[in-house]
Amino acid sequence: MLKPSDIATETGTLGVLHSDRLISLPAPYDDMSALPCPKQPAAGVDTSLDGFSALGLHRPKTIKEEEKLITAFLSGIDKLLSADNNWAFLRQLQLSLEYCARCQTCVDHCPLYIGSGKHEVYRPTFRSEVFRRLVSEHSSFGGRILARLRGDHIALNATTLCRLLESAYRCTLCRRCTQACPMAIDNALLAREIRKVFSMELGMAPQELHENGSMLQLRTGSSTGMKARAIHNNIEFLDDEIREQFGLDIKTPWDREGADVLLIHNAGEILAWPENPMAFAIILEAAGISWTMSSELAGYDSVNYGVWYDDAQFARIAVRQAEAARKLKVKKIVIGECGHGHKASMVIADRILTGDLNIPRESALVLLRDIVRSGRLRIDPSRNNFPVTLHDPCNMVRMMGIVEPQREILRAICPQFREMTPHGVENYCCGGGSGFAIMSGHNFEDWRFMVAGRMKLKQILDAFSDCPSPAVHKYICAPCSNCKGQIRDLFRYYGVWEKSGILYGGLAELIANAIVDLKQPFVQWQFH
Amino acid sequence: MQGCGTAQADGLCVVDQYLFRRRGNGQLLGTLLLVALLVFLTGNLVRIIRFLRTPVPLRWELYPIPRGPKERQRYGGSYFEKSEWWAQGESPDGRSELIFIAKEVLALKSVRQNFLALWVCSFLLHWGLYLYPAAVAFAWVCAAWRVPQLFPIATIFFWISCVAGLLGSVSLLFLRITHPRLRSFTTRVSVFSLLLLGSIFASGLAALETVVVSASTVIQTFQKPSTPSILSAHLTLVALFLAYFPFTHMTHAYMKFFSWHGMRWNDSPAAWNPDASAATKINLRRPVGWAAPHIRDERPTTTWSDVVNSSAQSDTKRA
Repeated sequence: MLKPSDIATETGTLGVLHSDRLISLPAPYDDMSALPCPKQPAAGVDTSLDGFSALGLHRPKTIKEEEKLITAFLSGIDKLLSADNNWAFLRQLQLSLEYCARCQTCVDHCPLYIGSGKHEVYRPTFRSEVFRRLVSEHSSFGGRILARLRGDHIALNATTLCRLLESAYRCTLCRRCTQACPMAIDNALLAREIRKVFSMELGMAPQELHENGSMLQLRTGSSTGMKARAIHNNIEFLDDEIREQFGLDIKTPWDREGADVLLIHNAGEILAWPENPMAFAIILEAAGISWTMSSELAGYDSVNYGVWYDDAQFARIAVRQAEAARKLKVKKIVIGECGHGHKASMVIADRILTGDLNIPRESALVLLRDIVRSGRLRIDPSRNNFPVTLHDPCNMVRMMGIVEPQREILRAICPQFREMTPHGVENYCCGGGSGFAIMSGHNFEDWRFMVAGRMKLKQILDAFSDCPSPAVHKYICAPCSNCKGQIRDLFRYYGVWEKSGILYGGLAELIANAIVDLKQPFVQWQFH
Repeated sequence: MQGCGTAQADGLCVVDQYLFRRRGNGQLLGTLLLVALLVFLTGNLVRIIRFLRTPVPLRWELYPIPRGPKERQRYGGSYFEKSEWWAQGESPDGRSELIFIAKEVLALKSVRQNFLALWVCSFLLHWGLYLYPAAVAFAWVCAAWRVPQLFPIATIFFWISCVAGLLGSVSLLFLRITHPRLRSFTTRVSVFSLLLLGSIFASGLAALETVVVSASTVIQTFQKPSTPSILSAHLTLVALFLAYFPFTHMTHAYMKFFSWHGMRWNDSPAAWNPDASAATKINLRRPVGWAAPHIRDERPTTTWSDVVNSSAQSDTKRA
C-alpha cells in the first residue's frame, strides 16, 4: 500500500502502471496487448511519479538549485494561505485543508482511479493528503515538531515537489469525488491550488496551457494563435461552404453593435470542427436571431485556460472577453459549445466582472433549446434516426447544473436517443478535462488514452451495446470542444470508428442535420 | 443544598458549591471542566471568526444543489437552464436544504452510499456522540426541575449513547488500521481521537449510574463513596476531549455548514446581489506578491486590479 510519505522516496518510480490491471473493456477492446506501448520521454525528463510526464520536468542539477526550488515552493505556500494573494480561493482552500476526515468515501467516485484498476498514485486523496501534510508542517507554528509527533512528516525535496506537481496533472478537476464527500472536501480544488502555486510563484506550468495557451491568447486574441483577420477569413470560408454544401446564403455578422447576442465560440472549433460554427450560423439565421461575432482581442475565443492553473491568467482573459461584449453593447453573451468557457465566464468570473462589465451570459444549450422549442426551425427528427447518446461535460453539468436543455433537444430531434450510465450530474469526465485534451507532450498522451479516458470509452461502448456493429452508424453527442478533442483522440487510439462505427460531434450539428431546408444531410459520416 | 429555594436554583446551587466552594479533587475537576469548556468555546469561536474573516471568494459551486423546483432538484439542474436567468430571481428553499443536510447528519447518507463498512462504524459513533450530550442535558433538566421519575429514560439514553459510541469507536479504530482503503491514510491523530472517544464512552458506561442520577447535582454524586474515581476519570476525559476538540478535524461537525451552504451550494450570482460589486472592488484592491515572471513583471503595479488589466508578456521557465 502506498503511503503519503512515500512520495519523497528518492529512487525509482512511485507507482508503475500495469496495463493488465486497467478496467476491462468489452470486446473487441479487451485485448490489452493490441495497444501501442507508451512512448519513452526524452532523456532527463522526470517520470518518477508513474512513468509518464505531463510537464517535461527536469530535476535540479545541484543542491543549490534544489534549495532554491524548495524555498520558492514554501514562499508560494505562504502566499496561497494569505488573503491578499489568494482571496479568490482561500475559503475553499481552508475548508479542504483542515476538515478532511480521511474517510476515503470519495475514492471510488474518481474515474481515473477506477479506470486505472485502483492504482494508488491516482487515488484522489493521495496528492491532497501529501499537500495537506506539507502545508501543515511548513506553514504553522510548531508545525515541524508536530508533524513528527503526529507521524505526518514528509521529506521536502526535489523528488517530492516534482511528483507533487506531476500528480496535480493526474486529476481532470471533474470534482466527481467532491460530490461523494460528506464534508464537501474538494480534492480537485487542492489539485488546482497545487498547480497554482507552481505556476504563480515558480512559473512552472504545462507549455500547452501557458505559453501556447493563455499567453498566446492574451497576445493574439486566441489560444489557436489566430488573429482577428485570420478568424474573419476562416469564417468567410465557412460561409462559402454553407452556400456550396447546403444551399443557404449566410453571411456571419461581425462586430454588429447592439445585437441581441454576442456568440463566442471556442476558436478551436473553427479549425478542428468547422461544422460546429457552421451549424450555429445556420440555426441562428434560420431562427431569425439578432447575433454577432466579435473581432476584439479574446472576443472571438471563449477559451480561458487560466481556469485550470492560474488565477491571474484567468482574470485577465475573463475581463478581456467581457470588454469585447461591452464595446459592442450587446444584450447578452452566449457561450458556444465549450464547457470550461461556460464555467469560466458564467460562474467563476461572476465575482470579478463589476459594473457594466458584468454583462448577462447564457449557455448556447439554453438558446438552442429555446429555438427548437419555439418551432422556428422546420425540423424532421427522422433525419436523425440513428442511435445517439449524450456526454455531459463536467463544467456545464456538474459545475453549472445545465442538465435538461440538451436532453430536451435530443428527445425532440433524435428518435433513438439513449442515456449512458451514469448520466447528468453524475456522469464521468471524458478524461480530457482541465486541459488534458490539448496536452500531448512527452508521453502524456499515452496516459490520457490508457487511463484518463478509459471509463468514458467503456460508458460510450456500453450505451451502444445493443448495436455494436460498425455497420450501424452511431453518434456520441459531446457539446464541448475539449471533450470532443479527447473523444476524437481516444477513438483514434482504440480504433473505435473502424471497430464500432461511432462518430462524435456536437449538439448544434444534430439540430442542423434535422433541418429540412438543407439540400443534403449536415452530418457527414466521416471520422475526423 | 441549603438555602437555594426553587428546584432550578437548587441545581445551579449544587453546581456552584461543587465547582467553587468544595475543596480537594472535586474542586480541581470542576476547574478543569470549566477551563476545558472555556477552551472549547473560545477555540471554536476563533475558528469560525477566522473563517468568516477570509475574503469573499470566487464562486466554486457544485451540483446537485437542493434548491428550486422539485423536478429540477430531481436531476440536479440549476437556474442557468432558464432563458435569461438573470432577469428572474430565485427564492431560497430552506426546507429542501434542511432535508438534505438532515440526511447527511443523521443518516450519514454519503458514507452509506459509498463505503458501507465505514458507515456501520461511523453511524454508531456519531449517534453515540449525538445522544451523549442529549442524555446529559435531559438528566440535567430532570434534576433541575426535580422530576426523578424521568431519570430512567435519561439512563436508557445514556446507556445507548455509550454503547453505540464505544462500539463505533472500537470498530472504527479496527477498520482504520486494517482496511486496505483506510490503512495508509490513518494518522496517529485519528487513532488518538478514537481511543479518547472510546475511553470516554467506556468510562461513561462504567460510571453510568452516577453520571445519570447526578448530572445536575454533581456534588451529590461525588459524595457517594462507591464511584467517585471512575466518574472523575470519565469527567477528566470529557474535559480533555472538550479542550482537544477545537484543534481537530472533528470541528467538521459545524464547519460542514460553511462547506455546504457557504461553498458547495453558494451559486448566488452577482446579478441578484447588490453587494457583490463592493466585495469584488475590495478584493481587486488587494496587493499581489506572486513571483512568477508573468505576474512579477507587472510590478510596481501591484494590485489585483493592475494585474487583471495588464497583459502578461513574460514567459514561464522550467524547473
